[in-house]
Amino acid sequence: MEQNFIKVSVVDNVAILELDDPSANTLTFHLLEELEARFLLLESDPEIKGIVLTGSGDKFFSGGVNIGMLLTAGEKHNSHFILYAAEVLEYIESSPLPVVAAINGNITGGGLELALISDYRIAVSGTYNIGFPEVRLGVIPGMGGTQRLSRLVGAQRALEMISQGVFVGPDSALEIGLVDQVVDAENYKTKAVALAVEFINQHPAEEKNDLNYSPSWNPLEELIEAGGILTYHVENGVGSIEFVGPAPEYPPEKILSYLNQALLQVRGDDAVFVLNINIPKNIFSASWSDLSFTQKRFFDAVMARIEGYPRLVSLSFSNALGDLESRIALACDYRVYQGEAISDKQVLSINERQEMRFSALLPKVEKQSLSISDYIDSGLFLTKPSLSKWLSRFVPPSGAAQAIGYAKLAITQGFDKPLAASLLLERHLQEQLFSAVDSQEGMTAYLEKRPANFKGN
Amino acid sequence: MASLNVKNHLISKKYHKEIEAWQQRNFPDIQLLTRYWKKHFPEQEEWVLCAKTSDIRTDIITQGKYINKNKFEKASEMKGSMLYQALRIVKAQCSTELGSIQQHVETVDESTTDYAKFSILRIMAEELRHAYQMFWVLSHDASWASTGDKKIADNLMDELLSMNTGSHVLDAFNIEFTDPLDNIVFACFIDRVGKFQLSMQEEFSYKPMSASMRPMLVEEAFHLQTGWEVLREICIAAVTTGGRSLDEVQRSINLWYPRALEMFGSVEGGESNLQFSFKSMSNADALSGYIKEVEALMLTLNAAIVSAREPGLARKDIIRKVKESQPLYLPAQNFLRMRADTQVAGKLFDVSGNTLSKENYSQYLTEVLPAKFLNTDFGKKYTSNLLLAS
Repeated sequence: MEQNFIKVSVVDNVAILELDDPSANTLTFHLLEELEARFLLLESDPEIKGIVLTGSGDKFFSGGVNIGMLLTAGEKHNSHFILYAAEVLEYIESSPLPVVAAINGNITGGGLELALISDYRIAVSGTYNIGFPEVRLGVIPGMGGTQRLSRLVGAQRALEMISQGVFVGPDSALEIGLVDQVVDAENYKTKAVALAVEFINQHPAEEKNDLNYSPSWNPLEELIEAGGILTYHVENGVGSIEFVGPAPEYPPEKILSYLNQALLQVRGDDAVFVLNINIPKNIFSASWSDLSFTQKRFFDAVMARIEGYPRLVSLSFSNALGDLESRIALACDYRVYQGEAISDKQVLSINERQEMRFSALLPKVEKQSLSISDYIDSGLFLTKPSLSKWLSRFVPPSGAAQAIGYAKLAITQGFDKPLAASLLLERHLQEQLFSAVDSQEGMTAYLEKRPANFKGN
Repeated sequence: MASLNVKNHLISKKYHKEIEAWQQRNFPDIQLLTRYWKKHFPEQEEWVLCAKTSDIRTDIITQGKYINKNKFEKASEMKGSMLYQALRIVKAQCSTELGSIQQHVETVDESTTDYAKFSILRIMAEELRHAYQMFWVLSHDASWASTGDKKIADNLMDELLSMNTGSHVLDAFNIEFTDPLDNIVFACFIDRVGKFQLSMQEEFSYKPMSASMRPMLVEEAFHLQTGWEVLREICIAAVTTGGRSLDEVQRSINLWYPRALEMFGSVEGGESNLQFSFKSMSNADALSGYIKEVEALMLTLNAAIVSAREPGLARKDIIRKVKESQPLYLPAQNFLRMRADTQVAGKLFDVSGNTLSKENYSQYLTEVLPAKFLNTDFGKKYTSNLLLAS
């Protein structure tokens, strides 16, 4: 990377990550991209046992999401950004390494949400602001802040802090349980490291010790240009990620990282109304059981990125899918078989079907191994001779792309949640659609008895 | 200009035409200016709608986080908050250029002399070129799309072209001109802030922006010079042959000087502009430099007024009389401020910096500000917001 937004140092096997983007260490797409990659690297480094997050300089831990970016980049980009930021935070939260947030200055909005996903929070003594000012900007904390703060300090205090946008200082934060310790500014990093070490001694990271994995590739060096094994292009509203060939020499996380990069690129592209991932041949040489804990974590994070994309995603393939390719297929909304002929001998290899997140999608048959035709019969696979024609029905002007995407979210994200939470999600998505341009056009066209001319927003 | 090694550039046909269409709507008198350009500005190269770049002092970043690195040739080399901050600066710069044209056009026809009118028309034309310059910065480099939004530059240009008085980035450009004095006092006070910003932006770490500044600065010098020359003539006339009164001039200064101060931002801020090498001074340093320059100019202006009142006065007597009588003054820095640090923003102060009560404030403003301004939508909204905030 030409520019780094995170300074890294290591003390006593604990990595100290300092957010470093002047003047307020605000969260931008680039910073989060680096943060995610750094966690991937550090988790796979056997020498690293814990992580301390802090801010560069002495004024800010982080001023939260960069408001200038939100104002400049446009609505579509922003919704993708918030989605991505929430994903990165969830990824860090589930890290097997203990994470200590060392709050060294003002920490607001998304910055505080980052601290909330840490296992411990220490704050240096002094006069600075801790809180969620979002309502003053006309929004709410959108990366878990409303949920995690209330679980930490109680619903009443969380309600007051968030609905009034009030700040507290470090001493008050300690009093209400928002931070675990207040320490002197001098040597606060050392104290944070000591806390991480204490945590490590109490809770050995068993999963991490099982890794048996040494990184053969540095994701930070390849963040900028993700290419080589896949191509990405957009045509007539259809985004296409195409794996151009197998890459057996690549470790799985490198292949995944390329896919991840392409997905992030697609999600930020408002010209894409439906996405197709084409896997003409298997791309992984490993299977799920070969993956280390860290590799599995990253795999799941990328799959979650496909599932959470508020557009329909299809996967097209021509040959029997391997185990990992099958998991990608099941994270997509449609699976389209493009092979010449259907053969019962072509077996879809999913070794551990019961582990799949969308087990409900799997055909309810008792056979140990299933052929492609079994899946087609069950409706899990489609056969579409003209893929592009089929995809084009999801593209405006014929389709209201946002409504299609939100219908997907309502189903996939609500599927395994309590009914009350799913209904709330559905209502929220519907409210958003009612204020969208396309819903106004759709309803007007209905009354005027003419085809709707959707724009995609 | 030759010594600057200036190169001219055109932007894409689409946006070139869009800017021409904007000019037709907002500044149709440009044809008049170009027809009589040689008559009024015989020494000056004729105006052309284009972007101009020049050699820069150094290709190396001389301050901040990326010190000693080469200046960035591509927007995509700027990442994180740096990229968005760069976009915001370009946006603000462009908005000021377009906004000032929309303001000047309201009263340019009421100019008292032909020279004043054509000088203002020239200022407007050059502001249009400066806006075009910012469009070039945004449109010649496809790598702005590295933000993840491929259309980010196009969207920004569309937004800029749709702005009107009232929707511009900075308050100073949202005030309707209601008096030809506005054209002049604005050129004196607001354009001088522009000069500061352009000078500071010569250090810009994104090279195309940095290379844009010198040609703009050369043109900006004319705006400043014209403003002060014409204001001086108006003030001398006020105490000799008649015309606009000094009280009217003072009210106009009371309106525009606070807007100029607000354009520098918070005195606590500007650190990231230094870190990213977007500007060469902190807000506080730039503000302090600006105030010093304006104070010196006010001294000169007052000296001209005193000399005109009493021709033949010795220099030391002129200085003494200026100090005693202060024909014109700069209002206190906390007067009429909505954007400032918390001790000042939204608080009610008089022109000397003393606190006023809510009850007296509205009446007081009628005594120190132009009546026409107070009747504009902006004037009404601004003063009522001040009362609400206090």
